[in-house]
Formats: sequence, structure tokens, C-alpha cells
Amino acid sequence: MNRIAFLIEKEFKQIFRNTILLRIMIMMPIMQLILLSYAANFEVKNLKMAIIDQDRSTYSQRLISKFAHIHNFQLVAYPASYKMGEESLLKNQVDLVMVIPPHFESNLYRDQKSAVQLMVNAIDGSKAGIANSYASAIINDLNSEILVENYPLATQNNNTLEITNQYWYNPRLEYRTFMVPGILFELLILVGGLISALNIVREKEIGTQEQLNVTPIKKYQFVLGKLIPFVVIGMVQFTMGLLVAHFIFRIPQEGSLALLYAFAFIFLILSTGIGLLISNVSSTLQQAMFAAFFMLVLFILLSGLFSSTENMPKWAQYLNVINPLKYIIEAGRNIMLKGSNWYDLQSQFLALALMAVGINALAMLQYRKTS
Amino acid sequence: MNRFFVFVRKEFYHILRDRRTLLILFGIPLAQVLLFGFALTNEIKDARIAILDQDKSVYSKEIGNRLLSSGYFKLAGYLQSPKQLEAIFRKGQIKLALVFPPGFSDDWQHGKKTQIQILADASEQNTAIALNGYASAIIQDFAANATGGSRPMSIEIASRMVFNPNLKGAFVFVPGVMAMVLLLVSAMMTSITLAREKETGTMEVLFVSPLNQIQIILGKVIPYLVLSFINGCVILLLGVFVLGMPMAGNLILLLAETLLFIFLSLSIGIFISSITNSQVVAMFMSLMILLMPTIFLSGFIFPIESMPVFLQYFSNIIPAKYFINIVKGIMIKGIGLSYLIRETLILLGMAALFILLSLRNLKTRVS
Repeated sequence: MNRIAFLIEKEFKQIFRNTILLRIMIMMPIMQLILLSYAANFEVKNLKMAIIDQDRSTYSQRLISKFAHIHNFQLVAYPASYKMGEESLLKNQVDLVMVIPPHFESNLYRDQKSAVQLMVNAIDGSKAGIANSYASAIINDLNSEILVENYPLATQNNNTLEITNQYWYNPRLEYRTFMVPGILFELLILVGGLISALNIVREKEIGTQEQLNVTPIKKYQFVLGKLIPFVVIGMVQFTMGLLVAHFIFRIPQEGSLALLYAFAFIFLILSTGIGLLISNVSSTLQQAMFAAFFMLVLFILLSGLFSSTENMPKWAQYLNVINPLKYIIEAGRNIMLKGSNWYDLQSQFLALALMAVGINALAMLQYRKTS
Repeated sequence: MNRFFVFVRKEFYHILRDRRTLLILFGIPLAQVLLFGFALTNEIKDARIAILDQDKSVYSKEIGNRLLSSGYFKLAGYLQSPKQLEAIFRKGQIKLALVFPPGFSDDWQHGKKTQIQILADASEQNTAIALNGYASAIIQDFAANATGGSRPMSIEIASRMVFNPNLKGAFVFVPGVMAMVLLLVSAMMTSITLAREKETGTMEVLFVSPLNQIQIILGKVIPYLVLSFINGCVILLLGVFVLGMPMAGNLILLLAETLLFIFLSLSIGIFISSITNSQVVAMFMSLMILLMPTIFLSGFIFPIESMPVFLQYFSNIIPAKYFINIVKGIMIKGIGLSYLIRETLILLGMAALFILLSLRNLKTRVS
């Protein structure tokens, strides 16, 4: 037992002496959490729009002024011709162009129908879809106004079915509420997993591993001695992250804090274990870093941090069975936003605990004193 | 000059012998392109829903069936009472719940106002909005069909999705992954290699060789330039032939711009290694100030216009932002250099700046 204590003391001294690294480990994740949470936003806002009005009638003016009053759209240009509209799309000056054709208003009276054209820059498909539906909603809105003005009686009696929507757990639909719990754990695995991955391999490179190998330290003592300091630092980081989430981003904490910490603890043991395992099997820092990086990127992309895991194809869902980040993000969001309790999240906890034990056992077995 | 080539060859051997790193270097772009191409879709299908039918009429059944046969939804179960709603949401078993009030069909048939409730789990916000939209549209469609009749004075909307009519995701992520991988390979690898030479003291050894400083740095950097370029080409080929990206513009221009971006990344790598002596610090600096901002702030995943204003300004110093614009412009829009002159000049300027800064740092350090 004493030996482990010495090993831990040694690790801490090493960490605290390297002030740059210490600063990076503590400050960077917090800064990242703050920056990324502001940046991570799929909301579509500030769409730049050009309008080509070839009709210049009362209705076309009304349509334009409707767009001018909606925050989501900024009217930046009124190109004189279709060609110039296309040109501004090419130059990235606008996101969408609306063309109101000649006789827009008179057709509406004469033929009972008329058309408006929207050209949306669709390189970013999902954004284009949303932009298109916003614009369509505004046009439809004008359409119903016109309808009511011209046929006040016909429109009264057929809209008795009402649909009411409720968005639970995030009623104002803030993207941040969704992202922050995820980013919190993503940074935890990034720092915990990476730094520990670099640790043993660094001892190998500078030769101090040899010195450790000639001591009577047992395998499990060695692994524990490496594990504990990183878990402790990780918990400090996690606490700071939670404070930021709570005080800066006002993320609710519906569920039990103890349960959240229990999850963070087991997750840190797991991610440090992954790091140690990588470190044990690599021979240079570069190798370790790239291996760790490769795994982390896979974990992060598949974890559901950005896109829902349920929409992924079957093979990706099978891969996700061994993705610790998927379980922890699920658990984190459910505890923080929905107030889920232990009974709701047992399976996630078990999966993480099982992986934590397995990975650390493997790390222990892979550690060889003889080269 | 001959000496220099020998040195470059030595560096190549160095890299090529580390099979594991090499494997990962080419594995990363491959895995990412495939993941982004096939796994990360925002397309929604089979979202689990629960139905709380307090009406149990023909209409409520019909609406339920329409939702379930749309392909977007899959039934997780019928609920018996409103009390069950909370529990089933908390367990994360459903994304959406549909609630029919008692007497729904009676009220509706007699022209009284009645309502259907849609409850969505908005802890996954975008999914919630989309699901809600689908469900509302299906119900409205049902209601419109039931009441019948066509509307007078309708404005049709003809939308044209310019540049990407099929709304393929590849158009966004192929340029993004390319920028990310090139940065990763060029900047991270070089900064670590150079820091490693310093850490282990072999930099001193190199400096006493007859090669001059610039040649040493160049010799270290050229292999990574070649590797990155191959990587970039692999991603382009995958993008065009596997994921159906167009190649509308000039290929030569695209390759030239790619080389420029690699050159810039290398100069950033050299700069990082010139301000630190430790591999670990070099790595963390590349990771935290280069990679993460590139993923999050370049417009690769999240639209820049939706960010707070200070981050929008900040995104102007992210090199990947310009490169992504260039790649999209050339491949998708097919525009030429005259449209991209601003982006190209900015990348050139950044490269020059980093080269100057690191040359200054290196000089003071060696003396």
C-alpha cells in the first residue's frame, strides 16, 4: 500500500513541476468548454437574402416588407436581374435569392394562383432545408392573409383541429442545453485519455521506465499509481466544468449530483485505462498520440454528441456498443436535463463499469517489466 | 545540395519505418470520410413514439396509423394514463408522445375546437424540432383531407436547391475533413517531430552538421508535405468516386490551393515547435489551438453566422475557414481563381507570417 502512495506522490510531483502542462490540463478544457458551447449551434440565423422584384406591385412590396421584419433574414441586396442574383450566390454574398416574377399580383386575381421562386445555396444541405422552410412559412403567411382579405367567409369554418406542441426538458429549444453536457464529457476523455496515453510512453522515451522496472513494484501497483493521479485531476476538471455549465450557461441540474459524480468517476477510470493501455503498447510518443487520437475521434463522432445515434446505420450502432462516450453522454444529458435516477440509468452504468474493469485489467496485463 | 537530399531520404525512412503511425495516418482520413459519409446522418427514421389515446375512436386510430406508416416513427407502446408519460421520457425510451384528449373525435365531428398534443423530448433539440414538424404535417394533412376542398388564390413556391439539389451531406464534410486531416498531419506531426529532436537533444547534433538551419527544417518538413498531399488526394478521390462529390472546377487550381494550405499548416507546425521544447506541450498546443477550433469554428460542422459576434470575428483567423471556402468553390461551384483571390491571399499572408515568426525564434534559440 505504501508503495502505491509513493508512486502517486511521484506522479503528482512530476505533474506539478511541469507548469505549462498543468496549466494546459486545467485551463484549456475550461476555455474550450466556454468557447465551444458558444460556437456549437445548429440554429439557423442571420440568413443573407437577395430579392429580385420583377412585379413591383402592392403584394410584392408586402412580401418584401414581411421578410424585412423577420430577424432570421437580412436583406442585403436587390439585384436587378436573375443573372446578378445567381452571381451573388456564386460569390457567397447571399444564402438565398427570392424571385418575384412579373404579373405576380395580377395572376393571383386572374388565375387564382401565382408562383414565387426561391434559390437556396444548398452546399450545406440541412441549413438550406431550414432556410427554405422559414422562407416558405413567411410566403404562406402572406398567402393566408391575402386569402382572408379576399374571402373572409370561406376561411372561417374549417380549422377546428388544433395541434399543440410541448418541448419537454428544453422548452426554449436552446441548443446549448443539449450540447454542454456532451462537451463536458468529451473534454474529460480528451484530456484524461490523451495525457495518460502520453505518460508511460514518455517514461519509456526518457528512460525512467527502466528505473521503475528494476524496483519491486508490482504490476497492479504500477497501474494504480498511474491511474489515481489522473482520476483525481479529472475530477477537479469535471467540477470546474460543472461550475461553468451551471453559472455561465445556466444548464439545469435536475437529477442527483452524487449520481452524476459516480458516472464521472467510473468514466474517468475507464478513459485513463484506455490511455494507459495505448501507452503500454506504443513505443514512441508520436505513435501513442496518433493511436489515442484516432480512437477519440471515432468515439466522439459516433457518440451522439452532434447527431442522434438512433439514426445511424446498424453497423455504426453495433460499434457504439463499445463506445464509452455514448453511454456517458446519454447518462449526463438524462441526469442533468431530465432528472433521471439510478433505476433509469442502470444499464449505462453497468456497461461503463464493465468496460472500466476490463480495460484496466488489460492495461495491467500488457505492462511488461522485461523488454 | 546532394547532402540535403540524403538528409530528406533519411527522414523519409524514419517515417516509413514506423508502420503503426503510418497506418493510422492513412486510416484517419479513410475512417472519417466513411463515418461522415454513411453514419452521421441527420435523416430521421424509426423514431420511437408512444401514443396516449384517451379517445379510442376511428379517427385517433387513423391518425396513429398514418404516423406509424410514414417511416419516421415506430411505436414503442400505448400508454394508459398521463402519469406514465414522465417515466417513459425519463428512461429515454421515446422521443415523442402523441396525446388524444377524451372526446376528441366527437368534438371534431361537431365542428368544435379540439386539440391533439404532441410532446417532444427536446433534450435532443434538433431531432425534437424535426419530429414535431413531421408529426404536425401528417396530422394537418389528415385534417385537410377529411375536410376536403381546394383553396383559391394560392401562391406556389418553387424552391431550387442551387449547387446541391439532392442535399448531400458530403458537400459539407468532404472539404471539412480534408482541412482537418491536412492540418493534423502537417502541423501536428511536424511540431512533434521537431520538438522531439529538441527534447532528446539530437537537434544540437543536427545543428553541428554542415547543413544549415533552413535546410534542416526543410528536410524535416518535406516528407510530411508529401504525405499530406497524398492524404489530400485520397480524400478527394473518395469524395468524388465514393460519395459523389462533383468536380466542377479546375483540378490543377484545387491541387495548387491544397499545396498552399499544406504549406501553411507546416509553417504553423514549425512555429509551434519553435516556441516549446517538449513534445507533450507541442502536441497539446496543436490539439487545443489548432484542431478543436478547426472543427468547431471553421464552419465545418456549425454554421458561422449563428455564432455570437465575437466568435464570428475569431473565426476569421482560422485558416481552415478559407481553405474550406476554396474547396467548396472549386469543386461544387466551379469558380476560378478570380473569385477566390481574397482567400488565397489570406492563406499566403498567414504562411509568410508564421515562417517569419519561427525563423526569428529559431535564431535566438540557437545562438
